[in-house]
Amino acid sequence: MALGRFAELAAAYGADLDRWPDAERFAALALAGRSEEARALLADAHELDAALAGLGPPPPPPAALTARIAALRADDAPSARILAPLAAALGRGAVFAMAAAAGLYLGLSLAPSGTGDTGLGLVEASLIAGEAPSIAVVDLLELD
Amino acid sequence: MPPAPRQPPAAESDDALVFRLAGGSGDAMAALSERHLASVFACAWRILGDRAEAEDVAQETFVRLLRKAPAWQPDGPALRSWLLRVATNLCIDRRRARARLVPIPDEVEDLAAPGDPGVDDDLAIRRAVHRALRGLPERQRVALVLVHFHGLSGREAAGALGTSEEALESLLARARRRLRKALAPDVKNLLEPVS
Repeated sequence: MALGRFAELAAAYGADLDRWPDAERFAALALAGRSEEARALLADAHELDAALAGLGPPPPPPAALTARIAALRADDAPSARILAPLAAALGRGAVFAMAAAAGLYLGLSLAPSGTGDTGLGLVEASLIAGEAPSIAVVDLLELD
Repeated sequence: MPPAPRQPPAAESDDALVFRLAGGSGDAMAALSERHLASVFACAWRILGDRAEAEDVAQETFVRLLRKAPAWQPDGPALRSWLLRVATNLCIDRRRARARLVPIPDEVEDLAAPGDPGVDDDLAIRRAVHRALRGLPERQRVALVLVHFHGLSGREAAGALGTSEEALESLLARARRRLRKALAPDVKNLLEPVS
């Protein structure tokens, strides 16, 4: 691994190599073992990691929320009642086709002209994941 | 001969619990929320900075899991990654909707009990970090929360944000540069970022 790439990864992921991409971690460790400059980059990144640790733990979820979620049943998610028998009868392909049709409709109807490929690409990415695009993704269609 | 004491069942996998959830099992959701609710709630709280909003997002995330359960694919993304992705999208939707109305209040003031030993210093740092995080552009903040605080891989976080791993690295690096600059006056030993 080149020192330049090591610096990019330290700048993005910080000093904890467990956060670094799996495919590059071993090479990064090897470089850190033999390069003082690489170790200096890690020490530099560690300062911000330590500062971020000062944020402390988040508040725990309230007990009432835990109870509400534990009590959720299919009746609370109407689409589950509809999709479950369909999925069982027709397989995932039917559900995917429905999601794809809905997503394509959203993508085409909400994207302003001249948006380019980016927005439709995001819709496509959502569909590949088997989900209708979120409002956030659809919002991006409106951005250049 | 008395019956042998019943051994506790081995921990069920997330996928097995989701399949039971799809089948209408009454306790599957309780088991899944026990495993993942704290993480989903924390993620939403870190992005939104508001507990009531984070509660709403966490509940909606698990409602979506209920909807998704019948079509759940065990060879797809890990459940935790999927839940954080859904929660992240809900947070982004909510922040954009709320930004048009009123700013989300800063809750950090009530995070520590006054009078505890060392609380003043800790709280000052906590406030500074909280403020600096809130000052990040939305996508930088989400990227940092997912990777730094919730341990998602670059690929998983990129998927949640609908972007490439390369673009995610850029978001993270810009977020960290901005944080260093913002925190330098408040946190000892934190130097100005190296350009």
